[in-house]
Amino acid sequence: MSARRRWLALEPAGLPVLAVLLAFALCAAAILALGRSPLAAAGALLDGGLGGLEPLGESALKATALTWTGLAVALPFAAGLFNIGAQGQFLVGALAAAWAGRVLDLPAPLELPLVLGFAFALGALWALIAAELKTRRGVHEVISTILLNWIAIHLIDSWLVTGPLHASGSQGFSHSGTEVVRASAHLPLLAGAGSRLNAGLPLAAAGALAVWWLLRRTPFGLELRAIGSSEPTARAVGIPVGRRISQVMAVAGGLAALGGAMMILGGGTDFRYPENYRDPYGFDGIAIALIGAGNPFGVAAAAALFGTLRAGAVRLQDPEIGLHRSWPEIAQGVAVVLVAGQLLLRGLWRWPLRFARKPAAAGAPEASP
Amino acid sequence: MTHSAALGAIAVSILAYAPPVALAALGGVLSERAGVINIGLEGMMRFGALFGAWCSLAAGSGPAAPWCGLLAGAAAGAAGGALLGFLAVWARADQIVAGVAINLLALGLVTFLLEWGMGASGGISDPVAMLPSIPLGPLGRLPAVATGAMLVLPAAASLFLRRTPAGLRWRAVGENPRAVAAAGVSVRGLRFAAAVASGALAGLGGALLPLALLGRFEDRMPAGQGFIALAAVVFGKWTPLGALGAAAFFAGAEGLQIELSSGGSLAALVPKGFFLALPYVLTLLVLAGLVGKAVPPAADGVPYDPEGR
Amino acid sequence: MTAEAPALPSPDGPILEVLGLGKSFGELRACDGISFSLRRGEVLALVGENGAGKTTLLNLVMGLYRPDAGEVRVRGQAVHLACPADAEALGLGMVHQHFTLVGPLTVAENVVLGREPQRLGLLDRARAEREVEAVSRRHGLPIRPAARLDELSVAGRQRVEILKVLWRGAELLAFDEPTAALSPAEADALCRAIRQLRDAGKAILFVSHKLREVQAVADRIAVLRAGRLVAAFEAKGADPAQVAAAMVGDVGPPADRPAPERPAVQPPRAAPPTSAAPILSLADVHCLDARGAPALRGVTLSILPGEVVGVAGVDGNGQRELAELCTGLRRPASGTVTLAGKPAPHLDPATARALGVAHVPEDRDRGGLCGALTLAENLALGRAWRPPFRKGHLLARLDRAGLADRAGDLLRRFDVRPPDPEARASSLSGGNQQKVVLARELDGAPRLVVAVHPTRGLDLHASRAVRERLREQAGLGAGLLIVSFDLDELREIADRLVVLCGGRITGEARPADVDDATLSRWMAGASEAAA
Repeated sequence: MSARRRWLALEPAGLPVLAVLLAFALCAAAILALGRSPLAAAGALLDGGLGGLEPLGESALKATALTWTGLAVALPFAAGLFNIGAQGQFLVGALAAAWAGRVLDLPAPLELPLVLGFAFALGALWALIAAELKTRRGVHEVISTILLNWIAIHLIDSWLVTGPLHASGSQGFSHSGTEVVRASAHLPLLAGAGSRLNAGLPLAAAGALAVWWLLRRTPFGLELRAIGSSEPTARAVGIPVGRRISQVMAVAGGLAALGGAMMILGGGTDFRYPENYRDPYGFDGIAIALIGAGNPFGVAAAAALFGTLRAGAVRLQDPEIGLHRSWPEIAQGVAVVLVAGQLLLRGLWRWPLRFARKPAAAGAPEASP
Repeated sequence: MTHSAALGAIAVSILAYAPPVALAALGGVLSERAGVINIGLEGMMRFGALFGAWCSLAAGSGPAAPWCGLLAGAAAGAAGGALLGFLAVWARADQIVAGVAINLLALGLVTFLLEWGMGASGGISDPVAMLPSIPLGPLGRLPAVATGAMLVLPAAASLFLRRTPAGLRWRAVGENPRAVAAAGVSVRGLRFAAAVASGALAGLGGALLPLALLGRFEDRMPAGQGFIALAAVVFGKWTPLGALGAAAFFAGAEGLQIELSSGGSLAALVPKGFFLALPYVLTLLVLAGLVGKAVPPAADGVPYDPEGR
Repeated sequence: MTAEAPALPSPDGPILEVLGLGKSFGELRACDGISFSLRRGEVLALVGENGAGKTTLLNLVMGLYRPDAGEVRVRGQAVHLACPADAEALGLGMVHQHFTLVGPLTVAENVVLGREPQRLGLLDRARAEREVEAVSRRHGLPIRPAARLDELSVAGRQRVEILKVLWRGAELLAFDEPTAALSPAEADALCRAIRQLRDAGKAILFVSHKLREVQAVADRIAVLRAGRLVAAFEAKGADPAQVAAAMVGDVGPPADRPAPERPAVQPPRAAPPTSAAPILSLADVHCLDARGAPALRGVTLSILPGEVVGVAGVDGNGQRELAELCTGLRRPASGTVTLAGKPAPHLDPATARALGVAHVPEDRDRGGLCGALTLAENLALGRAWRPPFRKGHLLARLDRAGLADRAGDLLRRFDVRPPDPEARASSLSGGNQQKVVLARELDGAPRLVVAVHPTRGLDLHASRAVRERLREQAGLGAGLLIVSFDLDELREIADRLVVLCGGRITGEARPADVDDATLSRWMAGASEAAA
């Protein structure tokens, strides 16, 4: 293959990278305009995210959650489905883990897998509601999953957590919520007591691998991708489209729920479900999935990147740096907007080709044979 | 509370709380009728709310202040709409992805702007000068401008679509853009205008939240109302008056929830969470039942490819 | 826009002159040095195969493309057409093949779109309807201005498409394959309307590949091949064989394309055995279409193994639903469907495949292929859970080596170009895509092949290849159900012709026993029983 064709073949991976770099560049320009130093900001972010075992633990916590929710959006995407419900599924999983981790009292090798499995199952069921509405009633999953997010938030915040699952008595915390989970349900720590780095990270990496394998190496994955490419064709060749939609949404719901469960069981919220828990990992998962171009490894990479940046963001508020901690979110949002504007990125990616040896006529329409 | 008083409270609830959703839903209808799905209503409402409050504060406390805010809110929403229009029409992005992207961008940007501009995180603590309202005794106050906009704009939009040449082209471009192109009208221009208009309406609706209803900006504004507006578009079968009816229905459900939970035996039995979730559940049920008869514009969400067949 | 206004209208001079027109797309020279002229009151037909450059030429004249070389003159003045609006302003009107109409709008609204009459800023609907009515009456194109467009038939919609250009004052009308979707009777009506327009002084440019029609309506015939104008004939005395020869070229065809004969002469096929049990049997089947309207009203049909049944009829008379019924995409509302001797009331596509039904759908993109997947993956669709594509017992995995092998084999056997299993399906040409669909469907010795418009959009060579493959299956004992517009094609391969109209079978005969006129009558609804 010529260098030119190789460059073009790399495009699907190159575009998101370009988007992220461009987003960073734009943010750097904005920071400069505010009279601050982008380099110092970058340094603070990296230090706050990677400079030591403790920051690494924080980054890992966030990256883990983002990986799971990113996968939860990317997997159905292959079948042409938009799972905007990752937020609700995330919260459902978190609450399920918070409850089961308290109620179940088993030795550690049994407790953790069962709690995680329970969370997965509940997340799957929650997502299944949207899937059934789509396959039986034709309700577009974008609207139904958005609505289900809010139903979940209200039922959890204004009923379950303040009602039946509320922690009784004082626990010595300033915020209230559910009871703390048992120690046997904690995710094992990987770097000692000084850091929150836990088994969630390798589990999330394994999850990304599993999703990739599912999509690319199994008949199930082939059928999903067929549905995503052309649903009428998939139907015509005998693929049970409705059943696959339900199945993939259920798995996706479970994945997002695992993200929520690992946040709780990794100590991200002091090992209980707090009142009015609003961390937008589910929504961020959408961004991660888009930035990762729907590819499980891309999702893992994007999750690692933005998880680290978010963890480091708290350092941006240091007086020497003087920036608001939401800059990584802004960068993320800009990157997503750029990813959405694919055509622009594509134009940028192909721009160097103009200087190559033999430029072909740009945009030649397919000749009709 | 007596039944009639409760009904009255619900009616006022509708008139007061429906306008933000109604206007955003109208924006959604207009853009989808031209073939552009706008999932970014929530983000555009958010921009509208922030800039509306901000400008009103900046303009002081005189009677003109809230009007400045209203204009600024509409402009901010329109900017979001322009971004959507650009992505959808020129960059030929997937419209749903573009809308989601705008929502994500709005989340981060608004938080940042809030801190940078206001020096406070979470909400503008200063109360914002509000638009004129009409006192209604025990039923509270009626935000006149909001209610007025809600009653007038959808009717105007309906007239526009059905009776004007521009409205004809608007409808045509959502069904078969090729027909419009063959007639020598710019598909891109029309769709871009539709996206901007829908953003402006969403921004207007968002600005009404601090300026006509709450008197201040809250960090989570519009707290999901942009998504309710999306549901109202489908509910209302992609017509301006239908969307208005749907928004009124949702506001009524919300009002019902407040009534039921604010006293009486029902509140003790049923947790607040159920009431809060009720409007969303109702929407789901109705969507599940209505589908099959609701037909979106034929070219809705399909990027126009001039070289395509 | 730089169109110059015509100085003095020259009623004697040609209204349109094209001189040395050329257009390239990348390396493809779609039009090369084309020159002709057209006068008022004259019908010029442009004929040629798919890919000969007819549509490109039309688009150049109508301002949709800009030429790389040559000149276009309107009423004696050279013009530069930058966009369709320029052409329209000069009185050139295009009647598109794929209608540019808007369903929910009325006829009048469709006609005036873009130049709406206004009153006080509002749409003047009454005036629009009056004007449309006047134009329609003047040119013999009956229509109701207030009717909703999606209530009209295909022929009706075409009339609206014609009215659009007439209302805008077109003096030259260009038609692009106008009879593609019409029944013979409707096509005749259109030809009459075109003759009437010609007699009223309009100039008509008519693009087609159907020689018979062209001869019926044209004054002159111009033949395009490979982007060049290779011959011109006066329509009256023209010899169809000569015209056809000019279209396909009898001088040095490309090595891999044997010169095809038209009409094709095939060796007679052995009559299929009548003693075997039918592979497909429909008994008084009724079913509804996608909108819930009745599509099939009591169809009784059987197909024997080795028999080829051709279904003719105007699009929209139940053919699609018939094919969907046989392949499990649609359930009958009443009546029985029997496949391979077993009653099959709850057929779905997967079960149909398991029973040996192969489906070559009418739309490759929506039923045949998944564009984003590779050829190997497309060839595995519908059978990925079985070897040779699957391995492993508990955990089903894709057997990638098996996939690649089978794909390579099939691509070679069916002459798909390029035979690259990893190529994206969307990167192939239409003809090759159809071959991939065939390869998948015919692999595995099906017992019943249901093919809908199998050669639509394919050139002569590819069409031939497809027909041969289908015939091959009949030779192997499969029953075939072929739906097609192309009567010639059906005559060529079918043992029996069946005509559907309004969801009923209005006629059935062997190809040799029935002429086109009778078929036309059946297609229009005069049933054999009633005749």
